[in-house]
Amino acid sequence: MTVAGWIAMIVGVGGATAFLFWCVYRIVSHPGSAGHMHSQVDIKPKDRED
Amino acid sequence: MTLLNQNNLRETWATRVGVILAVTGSAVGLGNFLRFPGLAAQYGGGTFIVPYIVSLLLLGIPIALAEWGLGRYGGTRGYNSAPGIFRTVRRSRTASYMGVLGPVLPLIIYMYYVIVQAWCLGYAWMYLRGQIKAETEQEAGAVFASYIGYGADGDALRVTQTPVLAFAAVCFLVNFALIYWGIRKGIELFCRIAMPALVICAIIVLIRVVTLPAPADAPHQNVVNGLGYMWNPVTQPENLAPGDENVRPLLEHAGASVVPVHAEGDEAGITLEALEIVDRRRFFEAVALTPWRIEALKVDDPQRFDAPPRDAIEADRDRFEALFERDEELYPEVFANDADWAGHEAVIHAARVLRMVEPFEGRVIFAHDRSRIDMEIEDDRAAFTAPGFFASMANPELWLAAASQVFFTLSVGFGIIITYSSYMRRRDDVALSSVTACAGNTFCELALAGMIVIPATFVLLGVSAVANPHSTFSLGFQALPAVFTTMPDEVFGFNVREAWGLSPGYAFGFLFFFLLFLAAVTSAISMLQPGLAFLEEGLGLGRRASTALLATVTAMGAFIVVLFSRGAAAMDTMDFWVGQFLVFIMATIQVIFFAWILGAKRGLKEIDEGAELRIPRSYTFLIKYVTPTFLLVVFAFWLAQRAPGRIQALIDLPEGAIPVPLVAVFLIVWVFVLFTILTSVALRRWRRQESAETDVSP
Repeated sequence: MTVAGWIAMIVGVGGATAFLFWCVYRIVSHPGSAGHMHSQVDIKPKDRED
Repeated sequence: MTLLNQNNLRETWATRVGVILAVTGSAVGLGNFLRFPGLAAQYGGGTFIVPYIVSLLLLGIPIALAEWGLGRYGGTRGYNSAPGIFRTVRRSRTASYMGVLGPVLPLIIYMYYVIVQAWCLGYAWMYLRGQIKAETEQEAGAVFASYIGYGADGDALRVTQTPVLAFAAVCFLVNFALIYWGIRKGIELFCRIAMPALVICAIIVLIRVVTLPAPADAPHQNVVNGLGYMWNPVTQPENLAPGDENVRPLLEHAGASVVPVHAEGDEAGITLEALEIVDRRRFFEAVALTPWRIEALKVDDPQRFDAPPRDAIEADRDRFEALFERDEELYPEVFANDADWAGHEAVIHAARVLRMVEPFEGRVIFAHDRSRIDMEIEDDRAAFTAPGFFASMANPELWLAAASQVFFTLSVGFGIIITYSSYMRRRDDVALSSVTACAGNTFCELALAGMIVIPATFVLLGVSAVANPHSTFSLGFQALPAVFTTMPDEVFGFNVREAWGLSPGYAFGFLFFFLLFLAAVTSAISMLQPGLAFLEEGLGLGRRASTALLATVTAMGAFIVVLFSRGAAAMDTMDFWVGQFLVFIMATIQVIFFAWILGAKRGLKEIDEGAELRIPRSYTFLIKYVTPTFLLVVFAFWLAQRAPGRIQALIDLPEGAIPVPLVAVFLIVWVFVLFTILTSVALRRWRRQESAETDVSP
């Protein structure tokens, strides 16, 4: 593994981990945020029969 | 603190943790653990990572925000499908037709996605029954190839103990039952429990992978070199393999042409690269400089080799013989035909014959240990170095693949998010939700899947297995069973097998593939929703009729994928033309609608509504100029450089064989035409509704 490879790995893995932790921190540090955040799985599609 | 306050605090934390798990968990799926490593391997590992990260930053996250914003914009104006939502942005027929790909792409992707989902379920079942054993590349390849019917079309339809078709039927029923009854609660709960469980499993597998020892007879096949394959921006010699794009120039330089062949018989389903050697000496010189394992040697004209390069090889004859001992017991068929190989001693001596493929007379498959051969050919050394960083980056198809992977894994750019976000209310957050989903995905892909699958394949199965995956989705099915096989029975002094009567590898294998199957359920349902929304709002169909229509269309497509299983040709063709090419087009269309037709500033205002995260104002510049320019430049280069070859491959029909890629493309065109016709019907209906509303309003 080359030096560039090590750098790419540290930046890639470290960056992805830091990005995720930053998002988690945002959610945790803003008390109201969780109340109106959504993901695909908790959005209920409405259809004609609703 | 009062009891009431304590309860409130606990509830708040439970809500936050629940949201974090739901948002990040919804991102985990087959795209992370199966498609990403497959594409990365196909494009040289580390070479793929740079375009991937650039695409994530310049395309993935900006387009995710745009799609969430665009969807909610259309949703608050009464539409839930891409053709309808585009109509809210610009009231014209063309706008709706531009959105046809919205319901079409997820639907076609579902046709092969459900088969990969069935593979996961089948693997979980085989682990439960203790039927999987994969310690070598051959075993891992054989299990996978025979299971999916890789060797011949129709093989997957055979009635075996683990028929793919039966598992596909189960997956179909589960997916359609869930979408028909609209069961969201169960999925949401599952996502909050099962997805973290999958991540924990992945972390355990990761620990196992990074502690894997290198095989005794191949010390270079170690974890560090495996990680190097995944992360080195410039391909290193130890990471080259036959079939690798980077190796082709070396082989060509050596006077060898690479001809992909499909082996039959004992090697059923294994795609090999046959090397047709023109200049033997140059070929061996290339071998000496590259450490790849030569998989197949095709000798059409034995006379050509009457004068072996003894000056280069015979001097080291003793060393060769010591290195590559004949193993007549294992490979009698090769040596029984020694007479046919008169004049080819050097081939035999310079190589350890691994296996003979019966149907291909004159083709010997052997491995060549580069590290033990030292030839003095300094003059040619420069010609054999792998392409540099910038030369690798000049391949537009690499960028297309990297961008498509970002879109695929984030469910962005192909009509899923636009539909789901259309059901959100104005005060709902789209900014932090979409960014968190992107973060969860990126973590699973780079920090888990990227660190597990390719390094594990490299260490346990060899560089050749990494560079020549059976299909885009196959690498995980080959590497993970090999990792599970190596799981120790004893962990921290506790013997799991003795205590529970169960091999940890098998238990883990079942758990991992079953969780992957469950993860695929959420994604599969997401892929059906855009089509469902379109049929309901465009044609006025009820849920039952819409579900039945979707089931019919997707069942036909999925059957074609199962039927044409040879070389996973139907699946890979559909994944390229839809999962890469058309997704790229749809993402471009969405960016243009958001940034240029709706307007970047207006779009950002839409994203800001209810946002828990303030998006930097520079986003408008990025989404208006940088993102579309990036998309269009890559697309233009791809059209100029690679499109003719791709189209030629479709036209060049194999003699006497079914033109599977062409069949797959016809299927795509058929679904597209069908939905274009349905869009014209929907347009008439929407216009009638609008004029009725105009008549009623004062």
